[in-house]
Amino acid sequence: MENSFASCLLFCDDAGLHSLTRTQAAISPGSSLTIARQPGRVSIAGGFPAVTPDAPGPLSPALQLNSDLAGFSSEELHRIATAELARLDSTTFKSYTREPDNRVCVLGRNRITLTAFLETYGGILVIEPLLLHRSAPEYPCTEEIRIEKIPTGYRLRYLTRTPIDRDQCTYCGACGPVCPEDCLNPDLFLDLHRCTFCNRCVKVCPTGAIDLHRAGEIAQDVPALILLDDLQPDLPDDRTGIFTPERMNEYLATLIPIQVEETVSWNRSLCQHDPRPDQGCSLCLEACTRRALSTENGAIRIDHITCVECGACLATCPTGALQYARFNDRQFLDWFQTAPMPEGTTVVLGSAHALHTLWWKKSIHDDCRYLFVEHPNVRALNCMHLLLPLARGACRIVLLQDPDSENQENPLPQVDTANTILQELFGLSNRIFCSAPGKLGEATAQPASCPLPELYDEDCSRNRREKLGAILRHLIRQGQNGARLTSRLFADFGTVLCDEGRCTHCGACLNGCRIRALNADEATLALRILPIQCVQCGVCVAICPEEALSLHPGLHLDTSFLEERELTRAEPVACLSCGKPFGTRKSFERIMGLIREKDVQVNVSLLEYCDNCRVVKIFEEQQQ
Amino acid sequence: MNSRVENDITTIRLCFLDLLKSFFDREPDDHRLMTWKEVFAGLVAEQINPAMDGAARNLYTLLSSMSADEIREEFYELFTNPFSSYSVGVTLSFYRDGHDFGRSLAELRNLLNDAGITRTADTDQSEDSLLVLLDILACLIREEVNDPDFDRGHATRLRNSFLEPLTDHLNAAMQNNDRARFFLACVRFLAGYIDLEKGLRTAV
Repeated sequence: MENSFASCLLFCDDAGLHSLTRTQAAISPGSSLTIARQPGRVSIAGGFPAVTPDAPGPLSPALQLNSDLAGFSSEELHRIATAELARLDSTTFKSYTREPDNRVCVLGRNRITLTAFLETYGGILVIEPLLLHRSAPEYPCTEEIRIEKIPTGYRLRYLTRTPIDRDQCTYCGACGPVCPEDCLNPDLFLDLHRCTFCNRCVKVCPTGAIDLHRAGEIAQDVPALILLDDLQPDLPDDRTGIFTPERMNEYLATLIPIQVEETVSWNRSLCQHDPRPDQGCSLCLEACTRRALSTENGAIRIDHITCVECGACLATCPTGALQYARFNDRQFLDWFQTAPMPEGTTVVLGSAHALHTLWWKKSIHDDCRYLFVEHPNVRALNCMHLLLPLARGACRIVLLQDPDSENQENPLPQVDTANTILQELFGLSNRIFCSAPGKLGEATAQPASCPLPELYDEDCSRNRREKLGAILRHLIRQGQNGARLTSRLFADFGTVLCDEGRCTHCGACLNGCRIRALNADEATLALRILPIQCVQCGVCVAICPEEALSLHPGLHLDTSFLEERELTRAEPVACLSCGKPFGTRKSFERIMGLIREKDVQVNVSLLEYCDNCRVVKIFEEQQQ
Repeated sequence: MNSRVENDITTIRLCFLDLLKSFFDREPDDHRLMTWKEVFAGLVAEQINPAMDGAARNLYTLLSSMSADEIREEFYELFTNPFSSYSVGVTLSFYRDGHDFGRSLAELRNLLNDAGITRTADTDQSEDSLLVLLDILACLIREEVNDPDFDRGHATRLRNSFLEPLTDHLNAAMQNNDRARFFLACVRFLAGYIDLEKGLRTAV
């Protein structure tokens, strides 16, 4: 067994206690991993799923690399194995196969081509035929059709003539013989293209079942449309699901079962996108080049089939409303809370494939201390993720490029954001960078040390921005503060300014700020802002009826930016009866002024009471 | 080739097609098994083409060595029992498109439309199933005899684009199927017949 693979194993005994051991394992690349001696159930083992897909338990490339290349002690490896186990155990997302939807609406103007299409594709497709500008007894017919795009395909709306009410018809046969054009057939089909609307059939019908102008609107949703006979109705801009007979092969190629993994999730309560048009944060929508994200009824809709997990939306989301289910923020924080972080460690984040390549090439620098972390897509990491390990004692962060990834050359703005912060605070340059797995040793050859005298060790967060705020507070306390960063990289940082003369303290702005950058103190009637929480979405500015608010973008690396401060304060108006404050002096006076201006006949004395006391007062006055 | 010879060849081709259809249309009864045995006893004495000759010898051996119940059981497991793990698809769509009623069926229907062949309602099998493909080929051969101007390209297209690929797929599927013995030999006999048809077309 001298040359066999050495795996680091976390065992779980009958009492549920975990123990870590490093043991030789017989390995058959492409199939199995066999562990000779098993003191208990294997909870997690170091290894590579690509090499041994049939391993008996979960495999962790990070554990394997930290065991083989990082020089951690057994106790430290135990902590890494525990962190990996917790990550794998808590990773859940929906995964299912979406069967192809072979319903299709076929529009044609020639009944012969429509019939031929049905004969060819009947049984293969579920066909809804529709004849345009013609009449035929066997097909629904219409003169006009409206087609609109919906998320599931297309919605068709059309009028279809129903001149004979079959519920009222007694099939007496009076109508057929009187028609001079022979429009009516025994199947009760009335050919309106031949009809001269002489109304003889209407007059002769004893039950009033015939109305030549009767029509009903049909609405029909279908995933795809096929246009026969060179039809060119008004079509929506998105024509991805509209085909012609020449493109049938293209259409049929779409009818395949698709494995869907919902690895990106959205949390409305954290999202600063606003359902009103063109308002609020839309960073994720702008970042998605594949149009996998869209808005629907005020919500961000994720098309998991179109999504390729490029990570752009996840990295740009400032609040963490969008989460990566393969390694979400909570898991990330927990991982670094559990794993050891000796001061001056180089943290290497990469996919299983990248870590595997690195392990294979063993491209490390002997004098460098590493911590390897498996992250399914490092491009999904946000500025918060990148600064956290540095605040906890890492000297630099390396993001491993996936060897086979197509988009590895694309720039990562979040890396520039984090590096700029470090440059301004500590004068450090490029402490976060990308590297190919085979060039890690070269990239980390220069010695580096942790710039922080004190390390960050808090574990509290409500959302991503709050966590970033806590990390920045820690960094700013120890760095050269005062810089104001206003480049495009920091467009989602800033504060809100308030024109005190305009603000009436109505509180409307608070409704739009789900991330709670804005809040109000009810006792003092003060409007407050926590600048670090503000993502410059502009919802509050759009909501404010008095146009009192404005945005002031940029990240100020100063503790004042991290503290809540008052934007404006109002003088409260107390109820004449109970003495409780029920509004602001300014809004009260404005209303009184308006009433005086308009000369409205109301009992203004009642306005000096709170809601409850006003009702009592009105009742008392009525009694008198 | 004079018309009498051509008529004889047509009769033989149709007889072969009937024989091939008889393999796959239903579970064989004793009478059918006896007929097959008689037919193959005669065929093993002939030399037609190497593929057919080998398959005929194999079939004759299997008909002699396997019991009627074994052949029936094999038919049931391969073609009837939908829950059998040995079940074999018999449509071209199943293999080419990954499911029955796929685009291959649409392509075949276009061919039928071009050839003016209309499906009758007395079969519940789809047009691209093996049995119906053999039936269509027989129908095209009859049309060629009845109408000298009938486009012979239809039969060639059917054979090359549909029947032969399906036979190859069936052969591959049955080779890896532990239960397929007798019907694997039938499929190989069919492959030999398709070779024969190709040679016949070349000669004509």
